Order: sequence, then structure tokens, then C-alpha cells
Amino acid sequence: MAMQRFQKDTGTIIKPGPMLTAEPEMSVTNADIEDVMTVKEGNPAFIADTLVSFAVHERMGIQLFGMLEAQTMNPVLQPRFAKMKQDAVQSVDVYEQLQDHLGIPLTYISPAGRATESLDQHVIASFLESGSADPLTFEMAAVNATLTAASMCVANVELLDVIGAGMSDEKAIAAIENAVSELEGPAKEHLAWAKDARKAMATVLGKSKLAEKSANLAEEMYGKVKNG
Amino acid sequence: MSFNPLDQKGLSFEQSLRTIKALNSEPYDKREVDPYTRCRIIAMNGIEVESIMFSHQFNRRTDILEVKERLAEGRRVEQQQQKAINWLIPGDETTLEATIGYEQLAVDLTAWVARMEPNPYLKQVYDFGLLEDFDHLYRYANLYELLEGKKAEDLVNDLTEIMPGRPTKQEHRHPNDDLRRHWDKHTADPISKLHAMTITSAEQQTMNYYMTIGNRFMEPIARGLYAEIGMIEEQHVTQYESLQDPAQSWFEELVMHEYNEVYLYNSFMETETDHGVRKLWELHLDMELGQLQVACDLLRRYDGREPEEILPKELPVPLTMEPNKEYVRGVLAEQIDLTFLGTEPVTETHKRFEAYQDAILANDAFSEDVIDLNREAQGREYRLQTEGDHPIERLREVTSKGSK
Repeated sequence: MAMQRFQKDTGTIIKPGPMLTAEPEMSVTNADIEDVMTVKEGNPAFIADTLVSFAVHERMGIQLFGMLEAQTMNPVLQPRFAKMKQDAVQSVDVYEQLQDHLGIPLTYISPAGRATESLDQHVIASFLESGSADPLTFEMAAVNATLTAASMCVANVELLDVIGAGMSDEKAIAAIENAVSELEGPAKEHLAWAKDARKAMATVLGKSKLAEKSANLAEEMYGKVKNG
Repeated sequence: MSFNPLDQKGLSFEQSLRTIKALNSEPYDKREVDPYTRCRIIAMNGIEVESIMFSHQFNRRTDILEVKERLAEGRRVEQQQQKAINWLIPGDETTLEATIGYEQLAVDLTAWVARMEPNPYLKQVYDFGLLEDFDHLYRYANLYELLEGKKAEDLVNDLTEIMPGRPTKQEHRHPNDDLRRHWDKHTADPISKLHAMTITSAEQQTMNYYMTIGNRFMEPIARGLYAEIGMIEEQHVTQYESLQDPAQSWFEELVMHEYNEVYLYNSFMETETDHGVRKLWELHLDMELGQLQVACDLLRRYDGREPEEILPKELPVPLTMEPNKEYVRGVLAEQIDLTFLGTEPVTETHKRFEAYQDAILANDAFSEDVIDLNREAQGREYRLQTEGDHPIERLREVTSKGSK
């Protein structure tokens, strides 16, 4: 089950960066992480930090799609974002199973994870200025945000594949290959959908002022119904 | 009594609105008020002001109408709460008397927070600031006696000692030596997060207060002392706000602000001795519970997160205003000579510190002059030492004849 709550009471641990402080019993070093990992070759701590950042990206996807599902006024996009959110939950699950298999603590907050969270949080925060966007502009921004997030998902899965291919530990390789096979489908699907949606929207709206006007009106009407 | 605020509905915006007449609170009698009632009032005024300023900053960063509307409504209620609280302070409480109340709050609030803080680095930061506010109380107490002919013990009672802390003249540091490392939002104890918010709000209020009223005195020594200590309070605000994780989103910070207000109103409601003020804490707690629900709803819909992901399951141990004499003396004995180099405490002064001191003080400090002047006027300086001699020998009292 994908973890959503990362707080002290769920046993979080962290490798504090230069400007961070954490209680001593919650602070870990590379050596501490490597001690508990089943992978002992290469640079295990780097692999741990990187895999954790992949899981973080998927968790931020849950947030992004949850926000878009709540905010969209498009009756077609709403269930799409709901589905993507569920896909993100499943992807988190896959990453957590992989972490578990490789001995990477599920509650580990890596520096790369924090950096990823910040990057993705700013994508979500970009919608703070969506008040000045008409409905169609909002929807395009939502598709663009999905494109951004999905691009990273696909890139992460590709990198995971490369990491696995570079290992010699057969069990680790198998676990990574299994994870890749489960992750790449939804990731590619999301990316393909975002690209296609973008093209479709731009094509229709680029050809017809009436289409743009009608679409905006339709979304406003739907928004009024949705928001009561 | 601890509970989960998320289970409470609280008051809606409409239910929270009060008439202007109702905001015009009946002030306390400054001769009768419990010092810690005064401290709690000062504390919550600072908390409400921070809440309002944060909301204004958030309002400037978004153009989502619904978000702006909820912020505006919340801010209106916080403004009303601020008036109702701050208007409890009577008109006959002088600026210096209020100042002594501010510093008593700073000492006993920071000491309690430091005692309860589970993170050793954060605790060190609070201990460091504690000794500086402790010294400010001493300087202002001497000014109070010098200008108004009264003793600060009539304000603080016997709850807080008054004697030198880390001398104010030694508190002036280069701006780069006031920055601190921060907690991480996923690993920090909930109480660590609330501590940082609360102390930042209190120091910010003090900074704002001295910035505004320091020029309302005629006496040069008073104007000078407020200017000097006012600069230190800027240092303190920089220090304490640095402790907070900048990775929190705007919506997350909004939820944390409301949660902290719930925490503090509940803490003070449980410990308040004044019946009338207690009723106010209870009313405001209900208002904040309602505002917390609004903030949580915004978090869900605009940040895609559930509040349970970031909030503890129940309120932490209540914040209590109580004496901390033994604790303060212990910190004094061990840390009086600390300063900071960048984000880390050091026991030796360094070039940047010395250069800044030279630039700022030019071998003169109003904080020293005020003691000299009061000693000259009274034949001794003012102190309230209920637990014996000062733990630091060189800071034991000097009479006007120079002996200790």
C-alpha cells in the first residue's frame, strides 16, 4: 500500500543536507543506508537516493493529479486525472516494493527526494496563478503539467532500467526488471496521452474561433454545475 | 486535554464575526493582572499579527479567486481576534511596562520551548536567544526604574529573575551569523515545527514594537536603548525564521499557521487563570478550529493532499507559561560566551564578529549606559535575583563605588 504520510511518527529518517538539522536518532549516513541494503556493489547509497527520488516523483504525481481532478472544469479531463492519480498510487506501490526488496528503508528521506519534491511542488504551485486563465488556458496548462510530470516518469523508468542493467546481483536485476515492466506502461501511456491531448486541443482551437468560444462556454457551464 | 483538531468543526466565518463593540475588550488592571496572563495576551497578539501578515503575503502570490476569498475571510477574523486580544492591555500600562512584559514573555516562552525541544541543534538556538532576551529584560528594567521610578518586580512578580544575560553589546553580529539550519518537514517532531513558528511570531512582534515605539520617548537614553535592542530583535527574527523548512508549500504553511493557533489557544485556555481571558481563548479556539477546516479544504483541492499527511494525530503537550529560573541559570553558566559563526555556535569571537562590533558600537553602547546611569541615580543597579548570586562571577553586581 503506497505510503502517503511521511512524518516523525511513521519513522522517517534522513541524510541531512548542509542547511538541514534532524534529531540524531533520525539522521543517517551513506554507511548506515548501505549497511541495510541488500545491494552491496557499486555505490549503493547513490542508488538508494535516486530510487527514493523516483518514488517521490510518483507521490507528487498523486498530488498533482488530485489537484487537477479537483480543479478541472472539463468533464472529459476529470476522470482522466482521477485515473492518472490511481496509476500514480500503483506506481508508488511498485517503487516501494522495489525499495523493500533492495533493503532501502521506505521511510528514508533522501536529498535527491527533497530536490524532486521541490521541483514537482513548484509545478503544482504554478497553478496559484491560474485565476487569470480562462478555462481552456487552464486545461492546456493542466495538460502541460501532465506532460512535464509524465516526461520525468518515463525518464525515471529508463534510468531505472539502466541502473539494473549495470548490476551483477541477479536478484537485484530481477527485481528492477520486474519494476520496470510494471512502471513503463502507465508512464508511457500518460506521456502519449499528454502529447496527443495537446495536439488535439491546439488543432481544434487553432482552426476555429467558434470552437474556442463554445469550449470555454461549455467549461464554464460545467464548472457552475460542479461547484453548485 | 489533547484532541485531534481535524475532528472539530469550529465556527464558520459568519459565526466568527463580532461587532466592533465586542472587540473593545475590557482591559485588565495592570496592578492586579497575573504576569503570565499578560504574557499570554502578548503572545497571542504576536501570533495573530503573524497570521495576518502571512495571509497578506499569500494573497499577493495567487490570483485564484476562491483562495483569495477564503484568505480574506480568515484574515478578517484574525484581525478581529487581534484587536480583542491586544485591547486587553490597558491604556495606563506604559510603553516600558509593556516592553518588560514582552521580554518576560520572551524569556519564559523561549526557556519552556528550549526545555521541550527534542532537536539538540534547535534547542541550542533557543538557548542562545534566551540569554539575549534575558539581558534585554535587565536593561529595560533599569530604564524603567531610571525613568519611571518603579521596580520591574511589580510587573514580573517573582516569576522571572532580572539580571544580566549575554550582554546586549555582545549580541551585535554580522547578518551572516544570524542564519540557522532548518528542520525538515518530514522528520521534524510536530512540536519542533510549532516551536519555531511561535518563537518567530513572538520575536517578530517585539521587533515590530520596538521599531514603532522606540522613537516615542523624549529621553535620549531610552531612544538609544530601543534602537539598539530593536536591532538585536531583527537578528532574532532572522535566526528563528531560518529554522523553518522553506520546502513547505503555501497551502501547507497556511494549515500549519491555523494548527499552531489551535494549539496555542487550547494550551492557554487550559492554563489561563483569569476567567474573562479564558473565555476569550475558548472563543478564539472555536474560531481557529473553523479556520483550520477551511485551510485543510484548500490543501485538499489546491495542493492535492490530505491534512492527515502533515498533521499529528493529536495536539502536542500544552505550552505552559511558568518560571524557568533554574533552567535559565544553567544556560547562563554554560553558554554566556557563545556566539555564532555562520550557522554554527562557537566559543571564540572571530574576525567578522569583531569587525561588525567595531562598525556598530564604536566602543559605546546604550545598553551599558543605561545601567551606569541607573547605578549613578540609585547607588546601585536594578536586579531581581531570587535564587542567589549571578552564576557568572564577572556579571555580579557592581555598586556605584565599583565593588561587587
